[in-house]
Amino acid sequence: MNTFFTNKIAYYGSFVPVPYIKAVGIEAYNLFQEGHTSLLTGCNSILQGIIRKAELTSLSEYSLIIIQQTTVQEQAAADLLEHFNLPVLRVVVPNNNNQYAFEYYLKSLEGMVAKLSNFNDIDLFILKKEFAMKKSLPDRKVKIAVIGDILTNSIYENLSQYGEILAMTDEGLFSQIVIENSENYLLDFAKQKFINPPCVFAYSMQTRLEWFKKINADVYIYTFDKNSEIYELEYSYIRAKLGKPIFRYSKDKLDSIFYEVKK
Amino acid sequence: MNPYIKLLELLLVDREKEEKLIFACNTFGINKSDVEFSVTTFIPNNYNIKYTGIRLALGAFLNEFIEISRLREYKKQGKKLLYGAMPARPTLYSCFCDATASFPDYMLILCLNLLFANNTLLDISEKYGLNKHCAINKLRYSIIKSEKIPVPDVMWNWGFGCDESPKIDEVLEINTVRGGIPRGEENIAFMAKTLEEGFYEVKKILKVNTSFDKADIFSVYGMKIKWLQDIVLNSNPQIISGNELQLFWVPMHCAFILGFEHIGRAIDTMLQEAKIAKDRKQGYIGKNALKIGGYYMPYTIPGLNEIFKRYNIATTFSLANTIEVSKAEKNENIFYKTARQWYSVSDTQNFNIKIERMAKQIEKYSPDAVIVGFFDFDKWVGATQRVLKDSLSKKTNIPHFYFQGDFFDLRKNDMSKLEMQIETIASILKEKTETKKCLEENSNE
Repeated sequence: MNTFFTNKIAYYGSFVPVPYIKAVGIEAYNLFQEGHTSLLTGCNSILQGIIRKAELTSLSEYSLIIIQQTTVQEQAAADLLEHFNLPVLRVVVPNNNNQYAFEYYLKSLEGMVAKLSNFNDIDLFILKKEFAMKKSLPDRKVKIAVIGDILTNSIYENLSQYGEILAMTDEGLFSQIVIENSENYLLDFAKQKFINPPCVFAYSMQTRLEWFKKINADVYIYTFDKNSEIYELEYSYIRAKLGKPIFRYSKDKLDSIFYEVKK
Repeated sequence: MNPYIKLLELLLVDREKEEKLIFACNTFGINKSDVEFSVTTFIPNNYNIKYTGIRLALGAFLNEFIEISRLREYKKQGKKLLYGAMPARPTLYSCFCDATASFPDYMLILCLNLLFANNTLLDISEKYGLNKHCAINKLRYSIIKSEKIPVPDVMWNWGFGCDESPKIDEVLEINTVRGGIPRGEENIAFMAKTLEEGFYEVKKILKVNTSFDKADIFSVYGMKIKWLQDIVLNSNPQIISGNELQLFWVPMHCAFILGFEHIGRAIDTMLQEAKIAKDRKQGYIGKNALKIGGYYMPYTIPGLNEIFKRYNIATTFSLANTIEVSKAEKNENIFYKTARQWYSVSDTQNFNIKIERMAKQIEKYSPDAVIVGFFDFDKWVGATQRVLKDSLSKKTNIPHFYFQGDFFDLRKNDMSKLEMQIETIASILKEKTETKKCLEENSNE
């Protein structure tokens, strides 16, 4: 089946190894970057927004919607899309840092690869190239760590104007997983994502705090929806403990935030 | 007679607990006039106190209210304290023989709402800056931070449902054992393994003896509550309200410090009284009253039941209590059994399975309508409820109504608005019933 240029796959979450989507010759779209923030921010009133026809219609363009399952809201989002008969695939990540949780995650990834293989055979050349690709980051002086559940393209671009973004994920600090010449890319990806460094689940503030300290950024920015209880609490906690500049993202305040940081 | 004694007598609790009750009230912000109001007005207006079973059930909550205030004393005496958090199955908590096991936040909010309709304790958490969180988590934060209850030796917070709850423990710097299960997929073996690991980790911390003998009491109690529910829901006029029925469901999802000592006596008594009342056709509401089910019957907002009653609507069952009994496997251990029980409740399932199970429950009891909501604050239970309302309504052909409100925080519910909504529901249902009656009469002619 040649499905080049006809299929689109959407995904959410850094536990999803995007190179595999590209290796079956299909464009991968990040749901957040496509403006589906309402789907995943976990705010009840907004989450209901997905039943709006327009959003469902735009989601129906995708042949597959891959959603990682680490939090309640990610499960709710997958549940609702599935309920509306959209083709959902869950990448299940039990929120435990133990071996059997890792094995479960790996098995779930294998299921994802098997599903993707139904579209096209995996092109090992593309896979190798995608995994080896490093995102070039601008050489700036200010080092920024960004975290939260509404990381959109525009937030990324706005922040990039002020400095180098060191980390940008919601459950681990190193979003960029680079693998060169692996015998088993899936296993290596899973290990890098889950075991080394250990992944930080939404509730593990203490672990997150330790990683924040290690990464040693100049400024830490939290981006979360106004109704996100989870990040609101974490923000207050980390702010009290980190001893470094830490702010909530607000486009209008960026000039003053970075003015303070540079001082 | 002072109101404390009156309350103890009303709820059939030992008079000798007066001093302890006063201490509990002082600890949790309940003053003498609140107790007076509770005895003379609130409890008689909201519960069928002619039934000893109901008084004993409320008494079981009063006993827990007292016990929670004694946790500091227990700690001083050197007792090991184990806390749990919703949602979890209390079965395993009861197996730590020499420890005091409690879900203090959840139990306390129930006691405050069910006995006193007073949530002022939540003001403390707001002073600490926790505004939009779930009231249970806020209360846990409040009472530990303000040292009304002590930090436990260990908190076994499963974290299978609520993501936020374990974060509160981190902020409070509580020694916590957490779990983690695959979300979106049922996996009994995985959960059993997680529970077993957690259990032995807790045991290692507490250094107490454990025994799995007590676990069977839950199965026996579970059968009794289902039996009681069937008697109540098949009675016409309905014997007691859905709110009262819910009181007896609590031990299935929350550990009582005193175990089944009081609530067990309450359900046995209520079962006997219910059978007699059914035979005598004695109801809390008129015969052929309209019936509503609830996703969770809002028994934590006791005033609502009276409003429904005023419009001749009987509150009945909670859909979330649906229990799908899957076949037990040979020689399954307690962890496997607990995991199976966990998945047997609709609320722990994926949305589509939840809908299927809840639809079955609706078909079984055929209410005139179902109410959904009161969880706008919650990402776990609340996130999908609006869609659930539409889907269940379509699937069952029974009207569903969504309520905005807070299941636990009474301060956030505008009762007059809720009454207006109930009035509208009543008129819709009345019209529907009359139309149906006319159509039936016409077809008979």
